[in-house]
Amino acid sequence: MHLRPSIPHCVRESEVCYVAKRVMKVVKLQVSAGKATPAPPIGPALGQAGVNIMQFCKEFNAQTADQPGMVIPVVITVYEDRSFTFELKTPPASVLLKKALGIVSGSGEPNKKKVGTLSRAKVREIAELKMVDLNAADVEAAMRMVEGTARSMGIVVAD
Amino acid sequence: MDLWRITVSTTSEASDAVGAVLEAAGALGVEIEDQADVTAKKAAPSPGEWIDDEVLALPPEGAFVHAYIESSDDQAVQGAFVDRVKTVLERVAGSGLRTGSLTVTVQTLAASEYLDAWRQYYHAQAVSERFVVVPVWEAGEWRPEGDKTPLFIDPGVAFGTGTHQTTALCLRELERAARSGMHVLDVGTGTGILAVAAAKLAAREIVALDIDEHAVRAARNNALQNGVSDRVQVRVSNLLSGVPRERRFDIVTANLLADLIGRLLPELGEYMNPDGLLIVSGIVQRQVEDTVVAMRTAGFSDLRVELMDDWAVVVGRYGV
Repeated sequence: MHLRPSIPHCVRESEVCYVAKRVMKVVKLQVSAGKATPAPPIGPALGQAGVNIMQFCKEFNAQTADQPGMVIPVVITVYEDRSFTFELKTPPASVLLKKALGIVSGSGEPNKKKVGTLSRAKVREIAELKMVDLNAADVEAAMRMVEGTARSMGIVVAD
Repeated sequence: MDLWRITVSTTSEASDAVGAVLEAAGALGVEIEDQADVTAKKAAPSPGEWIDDEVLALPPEGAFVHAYIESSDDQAVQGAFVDRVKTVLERVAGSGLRTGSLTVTVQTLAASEYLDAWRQYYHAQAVSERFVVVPVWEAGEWRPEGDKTPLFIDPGVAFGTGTHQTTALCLRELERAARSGMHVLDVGTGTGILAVAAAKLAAREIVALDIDEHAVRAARNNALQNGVSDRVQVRVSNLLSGVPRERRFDIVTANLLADLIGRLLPELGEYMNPDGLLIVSGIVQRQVEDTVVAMRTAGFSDLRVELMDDWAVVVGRYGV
C-alpha cells in the first residue's frame, strides 16, 4: 500500500501509525564490505546531504564485516530529518566481470587494449544474478547492460 | 580533504558502465544518483516513507554519476582528469548502451561542506535516564534540565554523538554499574563519550583507546570540554596493544563491531578484576549468539542481552 498524505506527519498502515519520513535523497555507492570510512565516496555523498557519516560507517560495517573482500553496492535513503536507511545490493556488474576474468582492473584504453574475452553464456550468468537490481525489463535487457559495461572496460564478448 | 566532484549526466542503463570507467580513470570514489532507484523505492516504500516529486524529477536523463578526486591549486590537474574522463566516456558511448549526453561538469567541494554539514541537525538530546548529550557549539545556550548530567561532545569525524542505539545501550549499562572509585577501560572510544560518562559517574580513572588518531584527538578534546581530562587518559591503541599487562579494570566498555569484539575477547580476561563487568555493543541481533558464545569461552558469565531496534548490548561478569 502506498499513501501520500496531504499533511506529511503520519501515515496509517493497517493498525500501526508511523511518523511519515520525507525522502530527501536516494544515492548508490560501492563500498568494500566492512571498510566504510569518511573518505570519498561516502564522506562527500552523505555528508553533503547532512547525514552523520560515522553513523553510516558503523552501521554499514556492522552489516557487512562478514563478507570480507566483497565490493557491495549500497542504496542509501536520506530523510528530511537526516536519518537514513540503506539496502545492500548484489555486487556491481563491473566487479563480477573482473572476477569472471580474474583481473584486477578494466582497461584504461578499452578501444585499443583489451583485457580479456568473455563468453555470452557467462554474460548471461552475470545478467541473471544482477537481474534483481538492474532495473532491466528482462534478462536480454540485463545482458545488454552487462555487455555494454564489459565493452566499456575493454572486455570482448564472444559467442 | 577538499575535493573536485566531476559529474557525468547519463542514463540509468549506462550508469554502472560510467561508474566503472570513472573508477578505472582514477576516481577516489563514485556516487550514483539513479532515477530508477527512486522509482523502485516509490513502487515499494518502507512504512511511512514519503517521496518528494523534487527528488523524482532529477536527474533529467536518468542518472548522475559523480566521481571524486582530491582538489589541487593546480587547475591543470583538474583539466587532465576531465580530459581522461572524456576519453573513457567515448568508449562507453561506443559500447552499444543508450548513454544520454554524457555531459561533464565540475564542482569544488570544501571539506567543511561535507564533513560538517550534519552538525546543523545535531542538537542537545537526552540519551539515557541520567545523561543529555549537548553539542559543544550549543553548550553556551544549554540550561540544566532536572537532574540530567550533560555530556558536551564535539564529534569531529569520530563515532559517538550519543544518538546511536549502541551508544545509548552502553550508557544505560554504565549508569547501572559505575561506582565511585572504579577503574574503567573503554576500547574503541571514538568521541570518548562513554569515557566521559564514566568520569561523570565518579570513576577514578578511565583509560580510553582508539586506533584512529582523529578519534583520539576528539576524545581528548571532549574530556577537556567536560572538565574530566585529569581522569581520562586517551591513547592510540590497536585494541588492547596500548594497555600495560599489569593493569586491571572494574568495567570494560567496547562499542565496536562483532568481529573486533571476537578478536578482543580472548585476551581481555587478563585485564579484568575478579567480578569485573564487560559491556560490549556494535552488535546486530543476528550476531548476538556468536558473541555470547565467545564471551562464555573467554570466561565471562552471568550474561545479559538488551536490545534496541536491530542493535544489542551484551553484558557479562568475569570469572563469576
